[in-house]
Amino acid sequence: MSRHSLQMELLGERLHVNAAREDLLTGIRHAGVLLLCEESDKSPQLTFSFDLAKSGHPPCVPPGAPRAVSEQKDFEIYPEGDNFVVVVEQKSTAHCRYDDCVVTISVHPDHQTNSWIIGHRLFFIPLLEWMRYKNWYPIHGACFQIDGRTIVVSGPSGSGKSTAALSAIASGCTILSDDTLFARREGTIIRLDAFPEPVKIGSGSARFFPEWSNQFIEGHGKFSISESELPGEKRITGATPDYLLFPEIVEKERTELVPLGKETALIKLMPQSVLPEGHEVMQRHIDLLGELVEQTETYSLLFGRDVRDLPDRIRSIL
Amino acid sequence: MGFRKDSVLRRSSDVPSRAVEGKGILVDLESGYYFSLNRTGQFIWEHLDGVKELQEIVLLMVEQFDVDEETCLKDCIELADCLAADGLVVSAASG
Repeated sequence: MSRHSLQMELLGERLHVNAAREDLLTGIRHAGVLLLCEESDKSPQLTFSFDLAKSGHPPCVPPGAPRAVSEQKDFEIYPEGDNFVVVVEQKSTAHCRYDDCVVTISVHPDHQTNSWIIGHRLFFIPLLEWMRYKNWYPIHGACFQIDGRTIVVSGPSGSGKSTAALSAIASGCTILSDDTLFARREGTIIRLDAFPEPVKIGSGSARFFPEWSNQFIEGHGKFSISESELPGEKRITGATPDYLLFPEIVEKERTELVPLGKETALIKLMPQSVLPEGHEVMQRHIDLLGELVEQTETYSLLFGRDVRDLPDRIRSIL
Repeated sequence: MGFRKDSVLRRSSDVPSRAVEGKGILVDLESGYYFSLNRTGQFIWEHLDGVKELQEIVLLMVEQFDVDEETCLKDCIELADCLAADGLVVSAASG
């Protein structure tokens, strides 16, 4: 069994992955992280070290651990002193140490060929928490530019983010991301950085883009299309947001944009960004989101069936 | 809870909050619920510092908002009771 190792770069931060099997690396690629290089002499800022557990009973919940700070359907996050551990289905673990920037991952035999668990739970969740530690705050949102103005569309899965992004791409707009953004404070403003990954949409939305039907790849209930397959797509890596839209798919022909109060906008934005954890980090996170809301013009996006006209609808409020 | 005008309350230590355009958002880490406060509610929240009595906050409110003292005290006690019921504020005497 050969030893594999990857160097990756994300938002200027260099990541290093030690993994013993190709399918682990496939899982990480599945998480959508753009691999910019596979060899580098520079020291990594964060190292992921994978270990394939041979036993079916690895230690999971840390002995004497306080209650989980985050409990989702298939994973929990527990504090470990100043650090934390992600436990997936009470089987696999990712121990994350902030001080020496190492994530040690033990993959249970049941999970060793599961790309979703490897890529999204054991790799992506610790990565998100580490990014937050470095003051990059994740936001579930698409972002693109129309006529030089930066538009953020933030909402849960299935609310139309990627469809909006594809509509923008189709009309020649510049895109940052269709799903994940990282917000950070730069002086007195909030900037957004792109998280590079393929655009993913549901089959219902794919039908609005017949010109790309041959390029869509099906997987995990979604169709994905890489940026290299989108003719004319223009990516940028960062921008200062001007408009914040909260989409809701409506059974109407025409899309409408309705002004939204800042307080309501913040309440809608928080679930798209905040994972429950300690008060101090949460307060910094909410302050940043509050500044983002104050910095932008906020609207409800009542997304009708005129999907391809979305850029023109947005132009009407610019 | 039955607070009175001389009650002294403070914000719970584990409730992140944020004011936006004068209104407030509170996050209860325990339950995961968000609470929103209008402008007067946010004013009261900001002054629940473990030092001022509710009556002192009411006097500040009367200066700031178009409201009489009696109505203001009633509303202030009502809000304090609601916040305490959800564990968002505690009596300063409770340590």
